[in-house]
Amino acid sequence: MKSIVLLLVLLIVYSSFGGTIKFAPLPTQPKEELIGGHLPLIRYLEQKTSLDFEIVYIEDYSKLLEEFKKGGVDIIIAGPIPYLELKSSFSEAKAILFLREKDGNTSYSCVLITAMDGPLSIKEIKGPVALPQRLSTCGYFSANILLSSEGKDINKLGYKHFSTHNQAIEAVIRGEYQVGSIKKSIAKEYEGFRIRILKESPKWSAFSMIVNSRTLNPEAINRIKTSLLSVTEKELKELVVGKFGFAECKEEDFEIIKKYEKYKAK
Amino acid sequence: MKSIKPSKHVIKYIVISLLLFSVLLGIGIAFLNHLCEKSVESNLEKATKITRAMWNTTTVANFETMQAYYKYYIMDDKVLEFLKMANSMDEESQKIARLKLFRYLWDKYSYLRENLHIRQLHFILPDNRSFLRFHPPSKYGDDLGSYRPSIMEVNRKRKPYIGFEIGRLVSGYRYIFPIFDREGNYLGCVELSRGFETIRKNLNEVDKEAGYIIFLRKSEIDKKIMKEYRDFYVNINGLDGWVVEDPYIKLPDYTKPLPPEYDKVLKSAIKSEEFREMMDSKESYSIALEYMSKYYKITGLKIFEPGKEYHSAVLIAVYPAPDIMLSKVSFNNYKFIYIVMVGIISIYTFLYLLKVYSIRLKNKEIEAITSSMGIGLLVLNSNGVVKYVNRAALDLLGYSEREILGSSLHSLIHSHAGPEEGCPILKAVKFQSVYCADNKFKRKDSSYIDVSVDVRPIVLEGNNVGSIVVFSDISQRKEIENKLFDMATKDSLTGLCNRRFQVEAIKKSKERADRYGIPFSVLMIDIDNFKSINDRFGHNTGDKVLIGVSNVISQSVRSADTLSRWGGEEFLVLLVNTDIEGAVVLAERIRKKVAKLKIEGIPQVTVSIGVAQYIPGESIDNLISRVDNGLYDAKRSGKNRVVRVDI
Repeated sequence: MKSIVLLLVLLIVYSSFGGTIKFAPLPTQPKEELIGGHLPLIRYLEQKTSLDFEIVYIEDYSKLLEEFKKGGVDIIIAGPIPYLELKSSFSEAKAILFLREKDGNTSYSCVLITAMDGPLSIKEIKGPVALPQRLSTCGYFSANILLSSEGKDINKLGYKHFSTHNQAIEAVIRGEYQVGSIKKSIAKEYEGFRIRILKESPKWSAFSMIVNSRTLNPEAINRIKTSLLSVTEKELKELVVGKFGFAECKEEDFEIIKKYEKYKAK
Repeated sequence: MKSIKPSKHVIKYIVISLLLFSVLLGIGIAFLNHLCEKSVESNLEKATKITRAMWNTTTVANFETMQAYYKYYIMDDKVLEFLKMANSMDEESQKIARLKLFRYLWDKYSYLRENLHIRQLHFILPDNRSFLRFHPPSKYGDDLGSYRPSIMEVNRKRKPYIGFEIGRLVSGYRYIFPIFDREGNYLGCVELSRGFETIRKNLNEVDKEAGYIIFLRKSEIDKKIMKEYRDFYVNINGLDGWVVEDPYIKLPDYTKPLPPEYDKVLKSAIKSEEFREMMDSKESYSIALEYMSKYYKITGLKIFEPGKEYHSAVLIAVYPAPDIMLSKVSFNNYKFIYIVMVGIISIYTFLYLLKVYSIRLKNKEIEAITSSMGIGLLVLNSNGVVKYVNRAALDLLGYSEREILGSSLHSLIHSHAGPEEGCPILKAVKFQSVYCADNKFKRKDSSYIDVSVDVRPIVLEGNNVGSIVVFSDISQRKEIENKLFDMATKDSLTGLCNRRFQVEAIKKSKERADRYGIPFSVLMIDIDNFKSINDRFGHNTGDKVLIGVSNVISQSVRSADTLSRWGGEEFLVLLVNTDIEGAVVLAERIRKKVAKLKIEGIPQVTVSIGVAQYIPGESIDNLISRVDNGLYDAKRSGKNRVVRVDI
C-alpha cells in the first residue's frame, strides 16, 4: 500500500514537471546547423527552468506536425503557415513567443531569388521553382503570392520542395533552378554568390515557439515563457537560435496570414 | 596447567625465518612485478606503435590519393580561372567567381562526398580568408588566420599540409594543397578534409577488434568552432578540458560511438589518474586497464596542430588485451609458485636453524662435559689431525686451542716416540683399532708428561671418521712406581741397585752367555777396614766412604754394566760382554781410583777386589761363591789388591 502511494506521488511529481521536453526545430537548414543552432537555446532553458529538454530532429514538416499532434513533440519553432496548419487540426498547439528577427522585429519576409545569370524579372521565369518544405511559409505559399502578383502560375511553372531553405537556394545558385523562394534572412547569407532578389513578400509573423498544451502543463509553459522573455543581452550573445530575443505572441498576430489563405498549397 | 613458552632461541629463529621469508618474498615479488611490468610495458609500447602505424597508414598514406583527386578531379584551367577572379580586389568579381566555382565543382564535390567520404572541399585565398566552402556554402569570407594554422602554413610555405585539425565548423583530417596558376602565381589553397568517422572506418577495416574515438581539447574548440556548431562538442564526464564531437548523433556524418563494452571500459579508465596523466602528456603511449576481470589496452595517440606545442586532440584506441591478461596470470602463477618456494625455504631454514641450535646445544653439552672432564680428550680425523680438544687436554699439554686444532697429533706431542709410521697411536687411528698404553707426551714447553692413552675409533654410519684419544696424566703414578721400583731395586744410600736387582741382572747375562756364548764377568769389591772406619770416624763418615767408593765404581763402569751394593761395604759389578782379562784391567783401575779418593777425615780408602768370569753352565751361586773366594784371597793377601779367579 505504502509503495503504491509512493509511486503515485512520484508520478504526480514527475508529471507536474512533464518529464523530458521534446523540442523539434523546424527543418529549414542543414541538420547540423539546425541542431547546433538550437542547442544553446536548449541549454539556456534547462538552466533557467530546471526542466529537461531534448532535441528531436524530424526532417519532414508534415511528419513533424503529425508527431506534435501525437504528443511525441512538445515544442516546435515554426513559421506562421505551419502553425496555422497545425492549429487547424490540433487546437492544443499554442504559439507563446515570437523569435525576433535580426532587425528586432517580430516579422519576416520571404523572397523570390535567382542566380546572377537567372531571369531579370518574374515575367521571364520559365522553369520550375525551388522551394523549401511544403508547409514552409516561404515555400509554396509565399512563392505563389509573389508569382501570382506578376501573373505567373506556380503550378504551371512547376516547383520542387527541398528539405531546407539552404538547399533550395543552393539549387538556384547551381543553376538547376531559375528561381527559388526562401526566407530573406537566409537569402542574405548567400549574397556572396551574387544572387538577386526578384520580389519580396509582405511581412509575415515571425517564427514562433509553439507549445503542445496537451503534453506540457501550464507550469512548465509558463516557466519557459518567463525565462525567454527575461533573457538578458549577455545571455542572448550565447544563443544562436533566438539570439535576437523573444517577444510576446498573440493569436491576432497571425491574422495577416489568414488573409492570404487562398495562396496556400491545396 | 602451565603453558609452555618457546625458548628465546626458538623465537629468534622464528623471527629470522619470518624475516628471511619477508625479505626473499619482497625481493622476489618486486622482481617478478618488475618483470611483469616490463612485459606489460613492452606490450603497450607495441600497441602504441601499431596504433601510430595504423593512423599513419589511414591518414598520411592517403596523401597521394588526395593529391590525385586534387590534381585530376579539381584542378583544371577553369578552376584556375575562377580562382584568379577570386583573387581580384573587385568584390563583384569575387562573387561571380564564387558562384561559378561552386557551380562548376558541385557535381565533383557530390561525387567525392558520396563515394570517397570527403566531408569538405574548401577554397581559401592567399590572405587566409575563406573563399568557398562546399559544406555549407553559406559560410564564407571569414578570416581563418587565427583559427587555422594549417592554412596559414600552406599559404606561407606554399607546400602541402596534411594533418588533423579542429576547424571552424567541424574537425577532421585535412589535406591542404597550394594552388598555382600556369604562370606560377600563387592563388591560395584548397582543402579536402575527412571527418573522423571516415578515418575510424578505415582504421576498423584494418583492425576490426579495436574501438576508436577522438577526444578534442575544449580550449581549442571554444577558440575556433563557430557558435552554432559549438554545442555539438560535449564535455566528457570526469575528464575536464576535453570534449567529444557529436556523441548524441546529431550530425549526418556523425562519429559512431564506441561499442558498448569499450564505452564502459573507457568510462572506467577516465576515472583513473593514469588515464588523465596519459591525456595530459604530450607523449603518445598506452596504458593497461582491468575491467570486469578482463584486460584492455588503451592507446592515446597525441595529435598536434601546426605551430602548437600541445596536442589538440587525442586518438583513443581501445583493444582487448588477452595477452596482458595472460601475462598477468602467468606472473601471478609465478608469484604463487615463488611464494610457496620461499615459504618452503623459510620453513626449512627455521627447521635447519632449530637443528643447528639443537646440535650446538648438544655440542655445548658435550663441550661442558668434556671440559669438566679431568682427563684429556682429543678427537682426531682419519689422518691423525686434531679436530677437537678439551680443556683438560689443553691444560695438560700447555697448548692453546688454536695451536692444537688442525695440527698433526704425532708431530706436535708424540714425535719423540719415533716416526709416524711406527707411532702406535697413529696406527690405531689408521687401522681403526683400539690402543691402550702408557706413553709420554711432549708439552709445549718441551717437557714430557707421562700419560695413560686410550685410543678408540669413531665410526659413523660404517665410515671411519677418526679416533678419540683419551689420556690422563699418570706422572704421579709413574713417580710412585719409580719410587717403588727404586725402593725395590736400589740401595737407598748409594743409589746403586740392590742385591736382588743384581741377581736378576746376572740371570739375564747368564741366559745370554748360555745361549749365545756372550761372556760376562763379575767383580766383588769390598772396602778395606770399613768397620774400623765406622767405629773410628762414625757412621756418617762411613756413609760418605760408601757413597764415594760407589761413585768411583759407577764412574768407572759402562752404562750397560750393573753396579750393586752387595753387602754392607761390598759391591758387586756385573760386566757384560767382558772376559776375565778385561775385568781384571777394570778392577785394577777401580782399585787405583779408590786409593786416590779423598774423604774428609779419612787418610786413605782402599778396596779389595775379586774377579771371576762366568763359566757357561755354572750356577749363579757358584759364580758368586768363586768371586767371593777371590775377594777373600785379596783380603788375606794384604788388601788393596785385585785377585782373579781363574777357571
